[in-house]
Amino acid sequence: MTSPNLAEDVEVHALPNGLRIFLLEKHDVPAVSVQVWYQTGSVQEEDGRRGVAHLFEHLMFRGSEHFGPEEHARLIHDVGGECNAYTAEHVTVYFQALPSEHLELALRLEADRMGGLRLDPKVLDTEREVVIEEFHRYLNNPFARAFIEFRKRLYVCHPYHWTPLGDLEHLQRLSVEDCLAFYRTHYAPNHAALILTGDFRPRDALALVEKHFEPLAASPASLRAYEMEGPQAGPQRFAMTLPVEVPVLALAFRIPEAQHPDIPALSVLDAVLASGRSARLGENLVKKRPVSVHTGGHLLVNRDPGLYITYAAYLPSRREVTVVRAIQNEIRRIQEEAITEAELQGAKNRLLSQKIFQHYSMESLAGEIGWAEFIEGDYRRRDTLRERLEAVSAIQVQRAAQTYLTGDRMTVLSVRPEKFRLTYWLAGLFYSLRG
Amino acid sequence: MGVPFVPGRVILALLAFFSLLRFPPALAEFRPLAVPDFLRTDLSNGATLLAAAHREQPVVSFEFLVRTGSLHDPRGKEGLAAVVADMLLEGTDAHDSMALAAAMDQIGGEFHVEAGGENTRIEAQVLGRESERTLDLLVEMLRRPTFPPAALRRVLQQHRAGIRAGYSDPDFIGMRHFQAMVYGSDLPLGRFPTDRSVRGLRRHDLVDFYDRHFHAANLMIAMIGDTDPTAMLAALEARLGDWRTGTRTTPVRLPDSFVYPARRRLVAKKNLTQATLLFGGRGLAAASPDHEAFRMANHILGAGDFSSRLMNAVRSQEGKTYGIFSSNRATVHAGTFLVQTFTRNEQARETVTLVLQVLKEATEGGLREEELAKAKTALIGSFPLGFESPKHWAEAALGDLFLDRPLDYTPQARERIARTGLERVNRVLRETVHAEDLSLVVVGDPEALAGPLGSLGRFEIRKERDE
Repeated sequence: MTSPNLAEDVEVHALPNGLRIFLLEKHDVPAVSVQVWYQTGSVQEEDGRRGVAHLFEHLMFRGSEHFGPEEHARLIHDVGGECNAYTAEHVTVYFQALPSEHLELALRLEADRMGGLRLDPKVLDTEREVVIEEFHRYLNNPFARAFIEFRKRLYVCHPYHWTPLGDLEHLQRLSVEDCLAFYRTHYAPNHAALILTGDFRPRDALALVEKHFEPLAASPASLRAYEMEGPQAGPQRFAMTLPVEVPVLALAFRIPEAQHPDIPALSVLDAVLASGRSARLGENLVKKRPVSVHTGGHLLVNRDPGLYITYAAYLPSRREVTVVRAIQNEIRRIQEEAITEAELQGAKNRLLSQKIFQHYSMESLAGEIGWAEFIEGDYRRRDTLRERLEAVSAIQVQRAAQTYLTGDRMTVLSVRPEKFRLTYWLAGLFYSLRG
Repeated sequence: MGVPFVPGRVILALLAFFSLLRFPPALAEFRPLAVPDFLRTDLSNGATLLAAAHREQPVVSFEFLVRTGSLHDPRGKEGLAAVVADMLLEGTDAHDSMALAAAMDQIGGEFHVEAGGENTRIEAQVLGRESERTLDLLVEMLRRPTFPPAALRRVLQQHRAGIRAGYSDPDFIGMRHFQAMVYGSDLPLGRFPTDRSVRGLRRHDLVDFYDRHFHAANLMIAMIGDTDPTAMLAALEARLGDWRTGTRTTPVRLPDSFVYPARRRLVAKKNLTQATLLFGGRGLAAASPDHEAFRMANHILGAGDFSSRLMNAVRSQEGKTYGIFSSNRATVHAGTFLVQTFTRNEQARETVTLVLQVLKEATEGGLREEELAKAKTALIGSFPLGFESPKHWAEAALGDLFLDRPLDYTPQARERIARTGLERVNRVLRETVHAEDLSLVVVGDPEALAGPLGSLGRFEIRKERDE
């Protein structure tokens, strides 16, 4: 198939219990992707229960009415499929890809755990331990630890304050009753969508979905409202000392939400400034003027206003302020003078071709439908991505830099090594002098 | 001439017939898969070229594979192959580093160069309309790199920073100690880049390595996508037919006298709340005719996620870890069997004991018929999922060429898996893995682990950088 037009190619249905179903045929390989997108993530957690959404990502594999612990994963793997799940701020997604003749197996398993999760103190204690292990493992990475701490400072009111990993103390305190209350509220067909892509006939697939999901009851509970973050008062700086080998600093800027019309221009801005092979930060801070050893950028776009982060791992012999100024100089250049036509076109080519490459994969297509629907508000927005990107002009990129990459939206995040290593410092100094 | 009547043959034939009846689904239910039809050209200078059409998306994938990698780094110059690979992107006689980066950005696809153990890959995936321009650029990088000194200084600095950053990761530390402890620095499998070895690399080292290994006799190319394969083969031949030839680089071998040691080492890294455990020893070579039998055994042991014995025992039953996996890291002529997991410090002893017990039971007691049947279903069923993108077919074709196998070897993997019997799988497992002879590396806090590891016998204790 060529690139699908989702508005035309996706069949959308809804069951009386509120479950929405998205079906996209793709017959290139004899396999299907089955994804269940629950509209719950870390923003839906109550205070004192941070981490419960992520804990569910594990509990949901520990048995349901007709299947034992880990049987879901085992059955999918046994037919050659793959399954997993992830928890984000606004969604928890359960996904599997498997040979198309086993589509009903995946639907039966997903419906069973949506309708009747098995939960007892032993299962909770076991999975709590596993989740805490995962948390510790994450914390063993100093940069991950830094990101958790910095998030708490970047978001004071909004639940983005917490990563989906939550809080260790809260996790320790969670009871079976807490978990069941969360499950009854959020794990219901009216708070979920089923996305199928791959080798099936929609009429047959829909019949199977109805067979397994129609008996499930809707939840009377509505999703939780939460407080939005106010504007930043001015530039901020946060620093941490951690067991890292090279100093790293990041400049984080507040940017708008995923639906905002400036997001395509910000994507191009990131590609030109930080994320391309010939991105300006890499060219000027790493190649031309040896200030850093590595630079990059991340656009953290989400349903609510997000962050744009540029970062540099820099030579120990350089002062932090020098690196901050060097990054700010590159930002200022874009603010004062529009990017070149070649830069603009190259960035668009890269962003568009990445999207086309994803179309080979059933899972990527299902993921795109889910992301566009749940984070951007409408799955059909994916169809207009190309024209929205093509429409970005150099002036729009300049305006995006002027609007969002400003001092009053900026936070400097600095991670310095705990140990001073003279040899690294001297090597860095020698390198920068020779460069 | 007729075949003499032999009752034994009849019985064997009947047994074979009924054994097929027992597992007919595995042979009968293969869903058809569109296998690309690669056209092949072998150039007189030794290069092999493959091209196939694939029209699903307006995309073309290029895969260049050169038969050399980090296992061919000269002793004391570890990191050389990886630096050479990165430097291919840093300048040619027609483009300097920034112009090359800008050219790739203008094309707008994905470009990737990476040195593996015994090969170096140069890859690109681009929109079909950019295929000519991409081919020119890839051949230029392959044939005419200049290794500019300023870029080399930067790349060396980046590699050194990467090594330093790696020491934040217990898995990285554990693997280096394992390699050094098991294979030792006399063997390529026991060596790895260090800050010192990378710092000592000079431009002439790169040029020597390049001259020795980068030539047509070491080159294989596969391209696939929305294009005319005949025209693309002609385009490749026009650009590579006059490239110099050379002596094909041979894969590394372990000496016949090599014996896998059973050693235990605790790598001290303070303030970790978890112990990272790495068990390992002899595995199976990629070129072995038994590699698929061992793949099935490994699937049952620890590569089959929640269906595996290790995951079932250590995570599902005992909750001692978030994950445990086994793998076979294979070079052409050698393999290393590994089991990797992590656990809370206080659970380290029990976890080590449990892992070894599971492995011992499997190797001594054998795997069961129903486990093998499940493994076959899983591996056969998962096969199409590995070929969603045509790029994967190009990679598989080069993998087969690299191992001197026919091009239909990978496409027929499902049939071979279905035919492999339990006796063979158990024999290969028994001959390869010996639980009592596995080495063990534990990375963790020495104070916190002193008690838990105390009853497990003697561990040599090393600092993280003292491999």
